[in-house]
Amino acid sequence: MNFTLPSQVRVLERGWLSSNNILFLEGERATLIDSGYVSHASQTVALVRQALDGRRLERIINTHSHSDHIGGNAALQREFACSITVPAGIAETIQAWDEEALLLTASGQRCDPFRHDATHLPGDEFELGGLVWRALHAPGHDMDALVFYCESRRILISGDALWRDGFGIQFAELMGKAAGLAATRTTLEAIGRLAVDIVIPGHGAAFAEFDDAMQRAMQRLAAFEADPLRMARNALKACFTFNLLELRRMRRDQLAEHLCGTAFLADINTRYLKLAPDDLAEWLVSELVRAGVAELRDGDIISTQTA
Amino acid sequence: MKPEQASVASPCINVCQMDAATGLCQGCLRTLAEIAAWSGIDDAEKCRILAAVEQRRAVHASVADPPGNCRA
Ligand SMILES: [Zn+2]
Repeated sequence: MNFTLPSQVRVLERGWLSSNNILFLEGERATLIDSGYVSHASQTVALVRQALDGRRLERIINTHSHSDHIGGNAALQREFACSITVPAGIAETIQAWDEEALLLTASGQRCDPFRHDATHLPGDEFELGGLVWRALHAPGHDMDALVFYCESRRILISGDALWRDGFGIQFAELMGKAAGLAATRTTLEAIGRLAVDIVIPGHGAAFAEFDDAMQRAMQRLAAFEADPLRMARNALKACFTFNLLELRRMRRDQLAEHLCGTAFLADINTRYLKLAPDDLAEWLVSELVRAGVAELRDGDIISTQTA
Repeated sequence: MKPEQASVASPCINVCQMDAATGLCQGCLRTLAEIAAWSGIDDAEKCRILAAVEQRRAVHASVADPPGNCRA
């Protein structure tokens, strides 16, 4: 580690099914950014309590409304009676708990419903751990997503808009709902103009190699712009890998049915890959096995990233 | 082509459920304190935790090997 975060900022680094949880200690109180996936919620509550060390969790703030970032909201709110602040753009959808619009149904994911208490608009300034942060609109992976920037300490909380190696699935673009890829370009260019020493991403360790991460993200974006089929294949693999992380295993002979029955995956196939269900399943399995994310055993597809 | 890992990789395997009897995560066999502290400790300390995890694994032999880049 060639950087040091301010001591009041604690990153609870999780895996890929759950986003990282970033805890800001504020005297007797604390604020948490993002809460992980619902199936990990009880560990999230326990981890947060451990890190709180007797402090009171007062607020949860979400970077965006994907299941792996808001899945612990309900459990944490039950446990700590904290308030929840979500990006303004998604507030109505959360209020209505529209599982279709929240991409839960479409991507085969789950989430406990919760009620939000407040919203953040792009440009909003607020205090976290005694530091001033600004919410910046970061559409692309999620069209309503925000990233949080602390100018005085040059720290960026990037959600799924920028990782050490890439960024999150281009949902809106792939579903034909918005010009998400163009938005990602605008977002990355805006992020690239910030002065950043430390990035705390939604997944993976915090890092100081901002320029290299930006370069990688721009290269990935250019590759997707040049070859939408590549973007589609990547998304299909990433979304199914997420499903498999939760399920841990799936019968190989049920894969085609899963792919047809999961709207986002079926949609990508219809729009981009255009394969027969069995051929799609065959292609996906061979790709995942080749990448080492899954293996075939006794007729099951097994995630190699879980026990 | 992956970027260089500046640090020891987390042993998290996305199971992320605590075992009430052992006080360890059922996936990566770390304690709550070890998981919570992970991002803020240096590589030597991370390797120490991974070594402890290996020892625990010998006891809880039913759990598969997690990924890790420390051979302690
Ligand atoms: Zn996301």
